[in-house]
Amino acid sequence: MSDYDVVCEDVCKSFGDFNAVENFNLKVERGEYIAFLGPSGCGKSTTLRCIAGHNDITSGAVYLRGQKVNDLPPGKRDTSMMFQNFALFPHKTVLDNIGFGLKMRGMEPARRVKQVKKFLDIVGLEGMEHRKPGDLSGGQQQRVALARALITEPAVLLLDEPLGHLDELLRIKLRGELKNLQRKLGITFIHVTHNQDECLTMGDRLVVMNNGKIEQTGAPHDIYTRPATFFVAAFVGDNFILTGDIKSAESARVSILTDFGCFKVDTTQKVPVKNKQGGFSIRADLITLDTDTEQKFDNELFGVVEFVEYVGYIVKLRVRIDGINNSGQGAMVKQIIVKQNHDQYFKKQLKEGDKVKVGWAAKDAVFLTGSYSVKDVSLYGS
Amino acid sequence: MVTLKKKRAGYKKPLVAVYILTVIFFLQAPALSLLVSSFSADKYFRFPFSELTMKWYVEMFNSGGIRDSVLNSLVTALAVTVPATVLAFLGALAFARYKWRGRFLYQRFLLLPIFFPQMVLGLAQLLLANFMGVNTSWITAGISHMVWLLPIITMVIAIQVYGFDVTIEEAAYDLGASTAQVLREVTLPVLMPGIVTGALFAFLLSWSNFDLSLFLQGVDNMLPVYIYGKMTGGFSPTAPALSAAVYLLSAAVLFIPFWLITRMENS
Repeated sequence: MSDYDVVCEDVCKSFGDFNAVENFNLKVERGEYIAFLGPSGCGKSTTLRCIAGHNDITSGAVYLRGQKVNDLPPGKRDTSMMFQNFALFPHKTVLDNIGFGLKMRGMEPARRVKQVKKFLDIVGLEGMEHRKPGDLSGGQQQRVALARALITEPAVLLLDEPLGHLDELLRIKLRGELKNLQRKLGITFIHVTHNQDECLTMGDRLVVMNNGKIEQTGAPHDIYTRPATFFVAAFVGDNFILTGDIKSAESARVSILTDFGCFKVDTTQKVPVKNKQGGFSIRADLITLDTDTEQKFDNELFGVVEFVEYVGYIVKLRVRIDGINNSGQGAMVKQIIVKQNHDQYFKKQLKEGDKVKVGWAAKDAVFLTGSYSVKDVSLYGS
Repeated sequence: MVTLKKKRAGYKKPLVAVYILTVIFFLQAPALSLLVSSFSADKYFRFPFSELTMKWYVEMFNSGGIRDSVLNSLVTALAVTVPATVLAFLGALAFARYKWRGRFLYQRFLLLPIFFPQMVLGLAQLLLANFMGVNTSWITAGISHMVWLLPIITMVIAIQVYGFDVTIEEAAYDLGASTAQVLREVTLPVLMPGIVTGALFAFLLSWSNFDLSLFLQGVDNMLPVYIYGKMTGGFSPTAPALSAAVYLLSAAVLFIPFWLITRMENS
């Protein structure tokens, strides 16, 4: 237990009848940068607040550095929280804001001022001690909030969507700074966000959540390339996902019959018995578009390019495919997002209206089972 | 196109100025006429005046009746301000911030006193006092003021409380503050403007109250009632002087704190 900075054991939190967090299990090692990722209302902030002590947990246990802290108030836990809206004291100066934690611990004013100045340097706000939060920009306020949380030298820093209130450029800049700071200080950070770019770039490990439950925990690379559930496949990255009946499963290759055809997926997982429901997910950048119909792929579809979006470093093409649903009635339409880099795109330079063959390898697809909700389906390229 | 816009802005400005001045004039004209007539030497109200004098002010300062009523009003207002503000502060938190079972009913019942015409409220309270065998005095007047003031001051502070960001309290707890420290370091300072405004309101509304004082003061004359008495007993030339003096004093109580605060913020 004491090897880990934070241990959550079957943590559950309910508000009345509503289960905000269910069976949350996590072990965080010292010095890890953990990111909680999920849509609004998935329970990530609630879990963070349970670790902080701002929310009481309904059942389960939270351990900080080996000590069970269920009943400890936030002020007595060795955690510090950085709030989404910064929660700076509007009537106090930057100096008094940052020094607040030390004042509560009884440190004399002279020493406090020295410490505050040290942390102002660390976050890059030298000379700002006498300003008030209202006079600062968003980025500056964020740094004050950060300094305020760090000055008490907590074991774990908890950040609740710290970059949410900032504009795009500032966000990208501060991502790097936060990560550097964490490496330099060597303390554990737990960072909550709904922005997947943030998660992928900053986290040593991600926890993807939905509807109060953990969908998948793992390193960014693992989650991006091998999603474990339909939700993770839909939420992280641009994946093309289809579901259908499992027709066969021999020598690690699964065949799935969907409304758009039969597709093969290679998997090391144990596949359920024939005719159960299953699906697959393929990354947008692993799909090939071809006008030369001679090229053969494990999986093929025919479609029409609907829209070409030049994002700069990649080009996103939206391809429309038609299918027939299983009962034979009604046409179904789906759109696939395909990502190509400059070279790939400008080789063929596909445009709207072009008929294309959509192909990908069975080994590149990820086999998925389990349930998914209609709400999650709307996250897929529709 | 540009020249046309300039022309429009041109006649708007003086029009707005005229409008504002008119409104101010109508609001302040009675007070101004009071001020002016207090310097008139005539023993009865006449316009235009024969001559100007300060003698009514002198008489006012010498009058025992005036001194007593001013003292009564002052003492009552001061005695009312502190409890009313404290109760209103707690009430505002209950009103605007915490969700609790009886809140819906509380929010409605609290506001009841201000829905009565003050005269009716005063009479009802007088009847209650008689029923309870309590003699009327500045104390009953004070209590009566508090009943009427509480809804108003609670609302004044509640408006601030509605806008109060609770997360700053959480941040304070997170940094190790105790409940008392959170109140002292965070909650009270941030809500102080509302509390001070509420206290000022409480003082001024009690000090200038006529309707309730009329019924509940007993033998302790309150200033507004005293002035009323003097005026209905035939024109008394000290009345305008007294009223003007009260008006200027109230204005000072209202403006000086704000002027000081503005000076502090700009420095």
